[in-house]
Amino acid sequence: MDELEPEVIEDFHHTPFATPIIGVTGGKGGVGKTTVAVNLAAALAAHGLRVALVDCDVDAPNADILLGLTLADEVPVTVTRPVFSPDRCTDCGQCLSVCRLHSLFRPRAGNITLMGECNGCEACFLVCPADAIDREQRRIGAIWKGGADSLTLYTGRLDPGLEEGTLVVRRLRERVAAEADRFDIIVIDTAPGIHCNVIEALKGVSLAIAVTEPTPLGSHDLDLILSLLAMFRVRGTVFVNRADLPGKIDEIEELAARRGMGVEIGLPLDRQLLDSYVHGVPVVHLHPHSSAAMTFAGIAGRITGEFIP
Amino acid sequence: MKLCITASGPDLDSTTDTSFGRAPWLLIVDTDSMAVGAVENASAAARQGAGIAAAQLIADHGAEALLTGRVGPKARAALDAAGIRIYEGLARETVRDALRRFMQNPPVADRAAAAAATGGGGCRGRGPGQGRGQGRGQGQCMRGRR
Ligand code: SF4
Ligand code: SF4
Repeated sequence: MDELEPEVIEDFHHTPFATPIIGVTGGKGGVGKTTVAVNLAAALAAHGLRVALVDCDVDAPNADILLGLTLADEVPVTVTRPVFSPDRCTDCGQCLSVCRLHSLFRPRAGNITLMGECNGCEACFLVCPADAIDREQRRIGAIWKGGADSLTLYTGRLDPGLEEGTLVVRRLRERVAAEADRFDIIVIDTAPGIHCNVIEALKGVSLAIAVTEPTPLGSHDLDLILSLLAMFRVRGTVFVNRADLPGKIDEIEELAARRGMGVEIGLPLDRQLLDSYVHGVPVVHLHPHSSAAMTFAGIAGRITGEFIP
Repeated sequence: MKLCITASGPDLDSTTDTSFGRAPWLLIVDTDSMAVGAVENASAAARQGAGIAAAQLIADHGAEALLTGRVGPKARAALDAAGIRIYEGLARETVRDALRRFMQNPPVADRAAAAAATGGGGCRGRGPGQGRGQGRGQGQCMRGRR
């Protein structure tokens, strides 16, 4: 496996605040990752903690639906894109050399064009001595906040058809970081898969819970996410959802053991859990004595014991 | 015509390099006088945008055509914008042999670029600034991978 530079790992684990973060992730979609995140957040809130739940699945956020919450407080996410004015450009070429992505191109003297990707770093604006670059703001999505003090939901959504999901995740996390000291713990629900979005969402987590289900495809994707966690030296634990499915739990246990990770109690899809989907209320609230609710209460208790001083 | 050939070294006896953006040397040959200018590709190891940077370099050196193995979509857009004709399919051999074969039997240039270079309209479907996903900020994914 590829080794990461120590600085990359260090940067990954750095957060500008002290509030602990628990990541909920999973290599594959549809394994109940958001159910786990929402119920864990609700269970932690029931323990008396002030919880921020952050839905970083910006392609298809749905924690608001599972929580029965209306999203409010919309803040658009925009990126700056440079637009060049040939009439003011003195052809000094400084913007060309400063762009680390090598995205600018000068087909003819005094005629600069944005040719590749632009991450909005604004370096070209800074170096231009002729004020020949104008800013164009382009909306790529939005972030919202909702809920009460004990459980606050932050959600980001990428506008349809765009590809800047990672940037939306980054802005969403920045908004949470600015308010992090109002919370005792932060629960982050990532997108499925192992792409940049997921890595960005998991930055700084003290513990990552990898949700899976006992199916062959589930174990394959689980192994991918576990190797990603290992690469970034993230402490992980596996949570088997749908333990009622006929697959082999021991296969999952073996995968987890190979990475030195533990496996959490399986969660069967019982009637109460279904009920909670239908009503948009976390099962820990709707049926606090169900086995599902007890499972989450147990995990919340252990997390509280370990991460809350 | 000034023809750029992607190479692993600075002279005609060097081996060709079939990658445009990553080739360590860009040899600019004047096919009339056979004078060779060697340009070191400073961005060959860039994590991103090596193709655009290489296109910039050869455009700045006045290249009118490029002979290389394969050109990526962004570099192609840049070369098209600069009106540089693209000849793909360079094999691994010495630059001298590649040049000789090119002179004896010039391959057909990429159509869009050729049309653009000769001022012909029609098929400029991939003109400058139409690249998808501009400003997507995903570029540094897995940055620092060793
Ligand atoms: S804003 Fe940054 S990434 Fe975008 S073109 Fe300017 S220098 Fe390059
Ligand atoms: S930095 Fe400004 S003046 Fe210089 S080439 Fe770029 S746009 Fe033109």
